Amino acid sequence: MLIGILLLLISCNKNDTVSTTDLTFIGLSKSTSTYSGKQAAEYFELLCTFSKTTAGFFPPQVARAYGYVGITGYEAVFNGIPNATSLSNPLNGLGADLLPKADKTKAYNWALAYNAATAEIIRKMFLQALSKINAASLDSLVKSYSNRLSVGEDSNVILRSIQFGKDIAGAIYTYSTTDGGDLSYLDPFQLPYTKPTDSAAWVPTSAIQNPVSPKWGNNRPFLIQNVSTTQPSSPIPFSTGVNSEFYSQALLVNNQVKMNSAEQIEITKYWADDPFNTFTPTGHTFGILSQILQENRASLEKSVIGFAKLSIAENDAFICCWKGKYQYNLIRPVSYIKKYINPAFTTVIGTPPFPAYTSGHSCEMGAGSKIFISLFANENGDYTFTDYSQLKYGLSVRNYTNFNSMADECAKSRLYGGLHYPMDNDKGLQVGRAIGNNVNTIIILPSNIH
Amino acid sequence: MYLLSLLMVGFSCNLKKNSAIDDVQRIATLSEKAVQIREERFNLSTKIRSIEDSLFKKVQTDTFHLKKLLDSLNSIKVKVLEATQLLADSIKIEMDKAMEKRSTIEGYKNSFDKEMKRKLRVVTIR
Repeated sequence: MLIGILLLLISCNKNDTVSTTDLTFIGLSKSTSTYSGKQAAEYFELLCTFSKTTAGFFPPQVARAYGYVGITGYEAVFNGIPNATSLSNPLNGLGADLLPKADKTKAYNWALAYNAATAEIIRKMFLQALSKINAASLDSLVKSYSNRLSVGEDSNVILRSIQFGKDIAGAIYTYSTTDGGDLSYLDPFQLPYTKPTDSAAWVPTSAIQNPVSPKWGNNRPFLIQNVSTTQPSSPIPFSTGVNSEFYSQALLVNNQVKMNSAEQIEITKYWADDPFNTFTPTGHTFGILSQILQENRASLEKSVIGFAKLSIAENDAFICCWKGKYQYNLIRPVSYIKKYINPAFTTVIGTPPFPAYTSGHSCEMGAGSKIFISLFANENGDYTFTDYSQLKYGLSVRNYTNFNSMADECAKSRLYGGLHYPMDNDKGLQVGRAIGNNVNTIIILPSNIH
Repeated sequence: MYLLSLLMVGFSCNLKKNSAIDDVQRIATLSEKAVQIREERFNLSTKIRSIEDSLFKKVQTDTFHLKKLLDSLNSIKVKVLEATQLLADSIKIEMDKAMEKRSTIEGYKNSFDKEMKRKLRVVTIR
C-alpha cells in the first residue's frame, strides 16, 4: 500500500516536471507542423552571414550563438507540437520558472512567435557587435515574414504571438548571460591569460599571439553530461625522441602533407570552414542540416526540433573540446614539425590559433553526425545526399551515402591540411559522437515528424 | 489517345530535363567564377600568413616594406570578400530556385543531380 502511494507520488512529480503539450490548447491554434520550415532555414543562413562578418566570433562564440538561437526557436513553438516538452527540464540551469508560459486559453500563430523570437535572440546574441548592414538584413527578414504570416490573422493573435516570441527570446537571453560566454566576442582571447611555456605547450602559429578563449571549457554546457562524461583521455605523451609515438604522429602529418593528392587538398579546403574562405565549422554543419530539411520539405515543427538538437550538440561540443584543449595545451603539428622534423614544413591552410588536442572540427562534426542520424538515417547512418552548401563559395559538391563517413572525412581533412595529429582527430570524433549520443538520449523530442 | 498521352508524358519529362539542364548551366557558369575567386582567397590567405610569419619572426630587419605589403594585401582581402559575397548571393538565388524545384517537381531532382554531376565535379564518398 505504502509502496503504491510512493510510486503514485513519484509518478505525479515526474509528470509535473516533464508535462507534454496540452492537446486542447494545441487545438486552439494551427499546429506548428502546418507552417513551412523554410523560415527557420533562412534565419540560420542569416546567422551564418553574421558570424562570418562580425569580429570576435571565433568557432566557440559562433557555436554558442547558434546554440541559443536553436533552443529559442524551439521554445517559441513547442506548444504547437503534440507530445512535445519544454527544454527547461533537461537544460542545465534553465528551469521552467525562467520561461514565460503561453496562455492556454488563447490562440497563437506559432510561426509568428518563431519569427519574433528568433529575430530577437539573434539581435541579442550580437548586440553591440551587430553591424548596420546585418541589422538591416535582420529587420528585412523579420518584416517580410511578419507581413506574410499576418495575412488573414486576427490582430490579437498577431500581437500575442509576437509578444510571446519576444518574451521567450528575452528569457533565454537572460539564461545565456550566466553561462560564462556572454559578450565573449568583445574579449575572445579572455586576457589576461598566462601561456604555459614547456616544450609540449602550444605556441603561436600565426600573427595572433594569444590562443582563443582559454577559459571556454569552464562555460556552462546545456547538458552537464556533455562535459562530465565525455572528456578525452590524455594525449600520447610529448616526446622529441625519433622513436617515440609522439614523433611518429608528427612525422605522419609531415609525410601526409608532402604526399597529399589533389583530392586530399580539395577535401582540406572543403572542410576548412574559416570565415574568410568559406563558413565557420558550425555554419557548415547547420548549412548541411538546412539543406536536408529543405529537400525533405520539412515543416517548422521538424525544423525547430532538428535545429534545437544540433544547437545543443554544437554548443556543448565546443565547450567540451575547449576544456580538453586547455587542459593539455598541446603544441600544434606545424610548430613541432618545423622545430624537430622539417623546418620547411608548411600547412595546406592556416592553423587556427588554439592548441591541438582534440580537433574542434572532428568534435563538432562527430556530434553533428549523430544528430543527423537521429533525424534522417537508420542506425548505421546510411543516408544519401549531396552537400551543395559550399558551392556558392567555389568549393566542390560532395555526395555522401553515410553520415558517419562524412564525419570521418571531416576529421581526416585536418590531417591532410597538416593542422592536427591523427590522435586529435580520432579522439575529437569519439568525444563528439558521445556528445551527439547524449543529446539524442537526454533530449527527448517528438519523433516521426515531417 | 494512348499515343497522345505517351507523347504528353514524354514532352513533360523533356521539359523537366530541359529546365534542369538550363538551371545547372546557369549555376555552373557562376560556379566557375566562384572557383576562381576561391583560389584567389586561398592564395591571398597563404601570402598574408607568410608575411605575418616573417614579421613575427623578424626574418627581415626592415619590416617597413613588409608591413606596407601586408596592408595592401589586407585591403585586397576586403575587395575579394565583397566579390565572394556578391557571387555567393547570386549562386544562392539560383540554388534556392533549383532546390525548390528539386523538392516539388517530380523527376526534376534526378535530372538536376545527374546534370550537376556532369557539369560540376561531384565526388561521391562511401
